[in-house]
Amino acid sequence: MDSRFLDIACSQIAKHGQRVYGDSFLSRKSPGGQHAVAVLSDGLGSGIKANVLSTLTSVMALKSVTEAVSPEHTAQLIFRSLPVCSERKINYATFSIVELKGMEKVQLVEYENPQALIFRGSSLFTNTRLETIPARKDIGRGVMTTTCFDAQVGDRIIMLSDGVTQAGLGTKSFPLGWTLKAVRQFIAGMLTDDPDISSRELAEKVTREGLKHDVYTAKDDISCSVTYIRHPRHLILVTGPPFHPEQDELFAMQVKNFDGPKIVCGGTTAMILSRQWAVPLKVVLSRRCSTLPPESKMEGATLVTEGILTLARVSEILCSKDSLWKQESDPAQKIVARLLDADRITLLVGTKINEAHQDPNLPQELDIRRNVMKRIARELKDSHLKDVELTYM
Amino acid sequence: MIHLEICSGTACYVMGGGALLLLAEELPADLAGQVLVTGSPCLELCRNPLGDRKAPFVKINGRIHSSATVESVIEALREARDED
Repeated sequence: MDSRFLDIACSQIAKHGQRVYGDSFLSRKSPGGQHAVAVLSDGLGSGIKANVLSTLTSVMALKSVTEAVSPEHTAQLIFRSLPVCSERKINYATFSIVELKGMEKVQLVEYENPQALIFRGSSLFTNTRLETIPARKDIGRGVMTTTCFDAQVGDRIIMLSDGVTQAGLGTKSFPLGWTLKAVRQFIAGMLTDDPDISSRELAEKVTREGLKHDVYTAKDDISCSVTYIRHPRHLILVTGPPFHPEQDELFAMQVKNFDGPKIVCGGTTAMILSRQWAVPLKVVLSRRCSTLPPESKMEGATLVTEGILTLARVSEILCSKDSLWKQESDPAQKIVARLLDADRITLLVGTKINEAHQDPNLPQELDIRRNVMKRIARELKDSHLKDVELTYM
Repeated sequence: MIHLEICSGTACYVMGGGALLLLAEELPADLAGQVLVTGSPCLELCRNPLGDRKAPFVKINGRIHSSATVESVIEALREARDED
C-alpha cells in the first residue's frame, strides 16, 4: 500500500464569556497510525458543565474504541450510561466518533452533531454506506448514523459542532445560521484554493469564519476537527559535525540525498556541508534579530541557523504551548513552523564535542547538544504526535 | 574597501558578538561606504588556541581581532583605513 499519514487536528473557540470549551475533542493514534480514533463531543449548555459532559463522553468513546470496541457498540454504551436532561428530555451530550483501521477502513458514528463532511480532494464524497438507526429508545428521540467507506489518500473527514453550522443565527446576513450547506461550500472553496492545506489550518479557517459570522462574539462553542489522510511530509534537521571527521563526506551525502526540507543548525555543521556540496554559505546580516544569531543562506538547505542557542530556543517554544503559533521571523520560530508542518522528522545529530563551548566563562545555557535534541524529539513525539527518528553520528 | 568579517558563531555571539552584528547597519559616518561587512557562521578561531585571545572574533582584511567590541572594531577599522 502507498505510504500514508494521518493528520488530525482540531480548532476550538469557546462561547463568549466562557473560559473553557463546552465541546471536547480527543484523538489517539497507535504507533505507526494503523489504528486511529477521533471524537468530537458537544456538551449540553456551555462552560464548565458542558465541558464536564463532553469530556466524559469523549473520554469514554476514545477509551472504548481504542480498546477495540466498535464505534457503534461504544455509542450504545454511552447511550446507556449518559444521563438525560429531565426537563428537555435530551441527551446531555452529542458526539461524533471516527475510527480508522489500517489507514483505510473508516467507520463514522454520529449522534445529533451536524453531519460530518467527507471530502475526496476538493469535492464532497458521498459514496459511502450509510445506516441510520434510532438511538435512545428510552427517550424516543434521536438517531444514530453510521457511515463506512474505504479511505484514499487525499480524503478528509471533517467533524463540526453545531456552533459552526449555527454561527450567525438570527443575524441579518445569516438568519438561519451559517448552515451545513454553506460550511460545505466554504470548505470546498478552501480545498480548491489550497489542496494540501494542513488539518490545523483548515480547522482554524472554519472556526474563525464561524466566529466572524457570530460578529466576533461566539454564541456557542465553535469546534471543527479535520482528519486528513495524506502522504507523509518528511523533514531532516541536522546539527553538529560527525564524531569522526572522515564521516563528513557520508554525512553530507546523506543530507543531500534526503527527499524533503533540510534544516541545518550550527555554524561548523553548515561549513562542512558547504565544503562538501561545494556551494557558498552566506550569513544574512540585513535582518536583525536581537535574541538569536542570524540565519545563513546556502543552496540546497531550506534553513541554516546557529546551533545550540537556536535549538535551545526551539525546545523552549515547543514546550510552551502559548507562543507556538507566533508568526515571528526569528530563526527558532522558523524552525518550529517547519517542524510542526512535517509528519516524519529525522533528527541527525553529530556528536563531536565543540571544545570552544567547554570554556567555563561561557553561559550555562550552552547545554549539551544531545540533551537539547532529546528534549526536542520527546516534545515532538509526545505533544505534537510526530514520527521522530533521532540518529547520532 | 576594507573587509570586516564578523563571526556569528555560538561562542562569539554569547560573548558579546551579537552587538557587533549591528555594525553591518550602523557604521560611523567617516567609515560609511568604505567597509564591506560580512558575517561568518564560524571563523573557527574559538577552538584553535590562540594564546589568551578570546571570543568574540572578527577579521579585518584577514587580520584577526579578538575580544572585539563595537568600539575596538571601529578603532581597528579606522587604523586599517589610515594604513591604506
